[in-house]
Parts: sequence; structure tokens; C-alpha cells
Amino acid sequence: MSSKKLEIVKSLVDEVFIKDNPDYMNEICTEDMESHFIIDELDIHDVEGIKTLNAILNQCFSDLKVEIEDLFAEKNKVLLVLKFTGKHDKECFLGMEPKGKNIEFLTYDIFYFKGNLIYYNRGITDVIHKLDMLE
Amino acid sequence: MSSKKEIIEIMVKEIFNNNNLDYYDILFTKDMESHMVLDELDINNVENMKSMMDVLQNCFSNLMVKSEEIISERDKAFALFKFSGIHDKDKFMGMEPKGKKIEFESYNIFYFKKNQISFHRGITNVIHQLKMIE
Repeated sequence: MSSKKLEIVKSLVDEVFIKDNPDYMNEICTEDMESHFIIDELDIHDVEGIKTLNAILNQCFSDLKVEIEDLFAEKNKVLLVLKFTGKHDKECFLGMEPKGKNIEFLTYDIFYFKGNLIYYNRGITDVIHKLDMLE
Repeated sequence: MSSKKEIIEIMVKEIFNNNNLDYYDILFTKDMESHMVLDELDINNVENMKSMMDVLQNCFSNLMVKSEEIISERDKAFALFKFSGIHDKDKFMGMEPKGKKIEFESYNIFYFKKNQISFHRGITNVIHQLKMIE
């Protein structure tokens, strides 16, 4: 049922990105989950890749906030749009030195389910277009 | 009445692949608002969408657009488009044409009022794919 899948994706956002609990991915994904999401040199292709992305964001930004901008489902697929905001005052991000400036960017993700587990994800972000906010 | 998926498929066929300008008025409300950035081109209405297609048509031959995924619910539909073409016409994003093939994707959400698109937002990965036409 689509509503159950929506709840699972909401819990992913809450646990992984808001509570910084990346190991939660292991509970909601198949072991061989495949992901296709590219941020600059970071090619995210599995559960560990998604955990790495979360770690990088936390290492680079303080006040990191994640909001669901859109979420809907059809059959075994869920579409998620997230808005990330944060202050770049920690480590270098995509080659940019931290200057204490705020950034805001979006990600679009599709999650494909087998039963109630995510087995495939593909996504995109506009962060490259937003790097001028950090200059 | 067409489903949201059918409307998206018509857009791909008529607007993207047949370059049929009449379909802009059929598929979009007059005050349609769009939020998508393609380099310096900030697409925020129907006229900007036409400009984007002009840019692509002026730069690429064999331009093809396929819908790889459509997910719809009530008054909205997500669509993942794959664009491909040969860069053998005008400059594209500062790149000289060298006859090379490019492929890029755009992720889009279309919001509907009745059977017309009234709002659009999207992201493309074309910047990541420019190395294909170097």
C-alpha cells in the first residue's frame, strides 16, 4: 500500500537526516539496495554512499535543516523532494572554503520498493547551482 | 479526460520531439509558473520553456526526449525525462560544437489545474554531463 511506503520514506528523512541516525538505512533498505545519485565527485551507489552523503553534510554545515517539500507515491514508487538549509562554517564543501554563509538546495529522489523495503533509488540535486551562495 | 500521465506523454511527443508550438497553449495555463534553472537561463514561465527548447534545438541535431519515469497522484505528476542529441550546431553553455553525443536528465514535478499544467519545478543534471561534449 502506498501510504505505508510514504511513512517509510518520512521515517528515512526523520531518522537519517534529522536525527543523524544513518544506520537506520539498514532497517528500511534491502541489503543489495542500489542508488544512483551524483553530487560532484561523490557517486552514491549504495546504502553506504547515502550514509557518506549525510556525514559530509554534517561535517560541512552547522544548523543543518531538512524539510520535506513534496512527497507522493504510486504503487511501489515514492517521489521525495527535500530542501536542505545550513550554515557553511565547518569543513570545505565541494572545494569551497567555509565563510559562514547560508546555503539552500533541493534534492529530488525516487525510491523503489520491494515489499516494504527500498531496493533502488535515483536522485538529483541542484546544489551545484547554489554554490554561489557560499562565495 | 486525459490522465496526468497521458498529458505528460503528449508534452514529450508534441512539444519536445515534434517541436509543435501549438501545444504550449493546450497543455499549460496562460499564467503557468515554472522554477527550473539551466545555466544562465532561468525558466519561470511558458515563454522561457519555449526559449529553453529553442536553445536545445539550435544546439543539437537528433534531439530526442524520452520519459523514463512518471509517478502521478491527484493533481500532480513527477516525470523524469532523458534528453539526448548530437552537439553539431550552435555553442551550448560556452562549449564549441564537436559532433559529440550528450545525454542528460531532468527531474520535474508538474502541478495541474484540471487538465492543464499550472506550475512546474525541476532540476537537470546537464552541468554534470557537459564533459560528454568536450
